[in-house]
Amino acid sequence: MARVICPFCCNVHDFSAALICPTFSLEVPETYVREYAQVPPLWLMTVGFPQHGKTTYLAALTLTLESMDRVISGLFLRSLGNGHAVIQAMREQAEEGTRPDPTTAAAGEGDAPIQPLLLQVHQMGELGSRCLVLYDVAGESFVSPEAVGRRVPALKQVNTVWFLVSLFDLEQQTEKRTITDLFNVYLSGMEQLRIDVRGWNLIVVYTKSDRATFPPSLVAYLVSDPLTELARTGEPAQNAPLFSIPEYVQEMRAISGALEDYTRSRVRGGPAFVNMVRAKGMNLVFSLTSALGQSPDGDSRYLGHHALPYRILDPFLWALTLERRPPTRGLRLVLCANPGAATGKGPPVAEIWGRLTDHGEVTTHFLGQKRAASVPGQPPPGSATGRSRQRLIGPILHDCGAEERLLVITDGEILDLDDYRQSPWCDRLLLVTVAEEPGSDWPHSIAWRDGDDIEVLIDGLLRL
Amino acid sequence: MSGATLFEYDRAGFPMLWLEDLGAFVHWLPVTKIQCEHFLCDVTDSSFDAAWYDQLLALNPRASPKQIDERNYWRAIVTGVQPAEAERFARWCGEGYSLPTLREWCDVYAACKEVPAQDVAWPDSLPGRVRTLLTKIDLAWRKAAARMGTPQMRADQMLMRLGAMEWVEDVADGYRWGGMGQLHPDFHGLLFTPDHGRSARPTRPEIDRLSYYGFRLLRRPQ
Repeated sequence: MARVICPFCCNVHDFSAALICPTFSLEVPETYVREYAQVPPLWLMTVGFPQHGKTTYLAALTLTLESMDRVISGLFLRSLGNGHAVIQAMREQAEEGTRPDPTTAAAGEGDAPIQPLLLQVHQMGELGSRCLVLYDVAGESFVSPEAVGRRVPALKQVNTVWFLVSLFDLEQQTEKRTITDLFNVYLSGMEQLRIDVRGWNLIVVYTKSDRATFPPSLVAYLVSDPLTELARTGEPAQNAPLFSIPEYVQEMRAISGALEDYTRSRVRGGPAFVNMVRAKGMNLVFSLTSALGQSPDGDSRYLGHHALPYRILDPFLWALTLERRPPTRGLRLVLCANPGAATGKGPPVAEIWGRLTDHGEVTTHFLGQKRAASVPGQPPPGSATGRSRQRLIGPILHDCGAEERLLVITDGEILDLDDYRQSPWCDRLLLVTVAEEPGSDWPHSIAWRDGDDIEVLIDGLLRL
Repeated sequence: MSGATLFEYDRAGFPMLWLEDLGAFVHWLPVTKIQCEHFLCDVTDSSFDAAWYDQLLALNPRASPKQIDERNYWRAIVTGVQPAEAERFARWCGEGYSLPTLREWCDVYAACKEVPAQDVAWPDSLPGRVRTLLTKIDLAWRKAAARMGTPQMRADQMLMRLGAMEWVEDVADGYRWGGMGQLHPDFHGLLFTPDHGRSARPTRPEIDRLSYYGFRLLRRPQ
């Protein structure tokens, strides 16, 4: 498979000729492209305040996954791209008994794109094989949403967010920030970037749980992690029952419910946080972890004991379980074919295309031309080339799938649109007329006026 | 339609009837504007531009399938096409497609003119507007034939009569092209019948655009 979603810029590209992201000129791992269908990407992002344990958690997760082959038959990991170096550093830190450097090697600097950690997890039992595309983004980055939008184009692709919060640090820090503050920063950023989070998964990960004051039942769950023994001895506990992912996930659900109760009753700003997330239509679950099983000594990176992770796998299993990505929506943007015509009149096509790509794979056509003017991931050309064409849409519709939706922008009558009245296309095609005369009587049509907001068109199409 | 009737469908989804004696498929109806529009949207020839189709529509305006009735059904057919353009359309359709010769057209006519018209259950897999157009033309033609008291045979159902004149290859007298068919008088006045087996002879077939001349194609399996 050569046409895949690029892990760096999140556009669909054809990598059959060169394994280079055309947007950022970064080399895309050949294995990622070749095994895209068998090991599909799982887009994940961590969001959290500085020093709340994001980097340490990711390191512990990676090392735990590496040892899971002892309890899940057939499982193995492959790091891709710069993941080799990042994971090697994690291993060395584990050997030395230090905690990871808070700045990951993948983070990049300045305005450079934040590169994800690419980690293939093969044959994870019932959950299959996935390639983690993991972004480590500081929550405060969202204070400048345009910058983070530039550096992490994957924001629109990542529909599962690990929301890492250290309750202990929230209590200790002099700023007295709340969990709601962090969510507000994140949400405001996403809203400014016009990214719709409805249906996304928000996995709250209470980090550094060795220091928080959870009820005894939750502490008991934390310390009874069957995988901690694996990390301690390198072998599963003697006479340990076989590791069953479905049973483990069932227990996670009960714990998530208990943590939500705890959040509502004991966490400052907790009720507002839960209400706000639910009001935004996000799926909300909770987990608790301790990446090291202990606290470092003061500000030191050195640990008094070898690090032992507790319940480190829970957020990962939540991500795999919740990630029921809806099938990619097929969208067609159909434009008037005026060879060489100035594009000043009418809605801004490039901007509309960009917004539509947030919601599906966009193919562009010109009326009267069956062949696509641009394929998914490829911006539409400024204008049509070649001969003048009739405004015809039938041959374009002929090749559209039953689930596809069309946004058709025209400055005149479409010759054969009447053929489709009282057909299923009435509910799948939004007609945008640009001419001065009264708009069309097509069932879903909008007359575009200078100064109109393109969101009206996007919302109109997405409602179909 | 009897169980022995075999259809295939061209690249725009329009039916072609298998005629065993001829060893070929023939378009059930003269080529329609919808088929022509598929062609227009697919080819890159500079001559088939918006102005070219405007000329054709000026000669015989377009009717949407749902608007078709006994007073306008010929508007669904593409006419005003010159023979060379029809040949280009045939090449676009694919291998084995061609304009019929006079002999071939007459063979089709002979095979169909004594067979009573029958209802055809078009498959659900046909594009919706194609099915609508086929159904509406069938209804329209039946009403027109009933009003005029003309026979209702398969050849009539295929608009070989009460349809358009159709280009056929008929090399004679220094000309290559002739016309066969019988027009609905409301479409155009031309006293001509295909029953004599001789083609009509337009004076300048490769130059003029005749508003009442269309075509249908044969496909011989390779």
